[in-house]
Amino acid sequence: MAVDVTYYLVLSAGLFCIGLAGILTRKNALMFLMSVELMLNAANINFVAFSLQWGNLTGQTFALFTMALAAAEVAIGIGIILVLYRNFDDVDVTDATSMRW
Amino acid sequence: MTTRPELRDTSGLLPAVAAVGLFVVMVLAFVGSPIGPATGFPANAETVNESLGDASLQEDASIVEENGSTLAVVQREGGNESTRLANETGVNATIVASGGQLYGVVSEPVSITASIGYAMFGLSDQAPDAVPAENFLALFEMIAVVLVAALIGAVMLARREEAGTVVSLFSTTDDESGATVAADGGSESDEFDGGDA
Repeated sequence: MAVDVTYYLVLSAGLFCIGLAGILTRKNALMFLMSVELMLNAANINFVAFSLQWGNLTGQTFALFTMALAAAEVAIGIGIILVLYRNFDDVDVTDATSMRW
Repeated sequence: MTTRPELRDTSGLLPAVAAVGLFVVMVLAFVGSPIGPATGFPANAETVNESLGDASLQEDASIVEENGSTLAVVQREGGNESTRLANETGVNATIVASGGQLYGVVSEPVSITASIGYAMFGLSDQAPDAVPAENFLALFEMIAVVLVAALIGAVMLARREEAGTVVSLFSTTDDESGATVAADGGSESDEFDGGDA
């Protein structure tokens, strides 16, 4: 028996809002990255849940590609954090207020 | 002055109320929306479907395994009539009555993982019983390019050339000062040891 899709949607909304709260309240760039990951994975839960809902595997396959995209994003994100630390001696995103130093 | 544990300053948490508000709005929208029951994925796919005659014969029809093959046998007045369903035994064979007709059906489980693999490379039409999905070959290539770009970007951002040694992807070149590579995240380097680790 399949779980009703509404539960998946509520779980996904919770995960997304936790990620959003993280982005709104934290200043640490690493916490930013983690919060963005939470929001991306909330989208993935929706993809997989609606894949089951309609009996079509497009959603599940797309979720795989979203994971690959998240990996690319983290690679660039950590590179940016490295540069941020090098130039500002901190990973506080509110320190970097200009495009040059 | 003594130090003691303190609660974290919670004044910065005010924007999180907006996120909680968004959650409440989303949950209200989801719970109130009329979404029907899930279609789900097919558990089995038919590989053989042989007509056996009229549905009134269902009482007399049975699945028999003999001599290494699976047969659907219908007992008629003039003798038994057998229909070969598979050239092996141990398959999932059933007698199904549908639309006034009787069918001998052999089915096997559908592999979701295999179907995803076929969809990812745009080969769904070559799979015998794939679950429906769109063609993702173009997206696969795009993501491959994005991943390569991300790798190059990450290496470019992480490379450092200030503190002594030029470090690039496949070569390492010492400069004249002879100082070592600083791997401490960018603190000031001195003449001898690189950064003050």
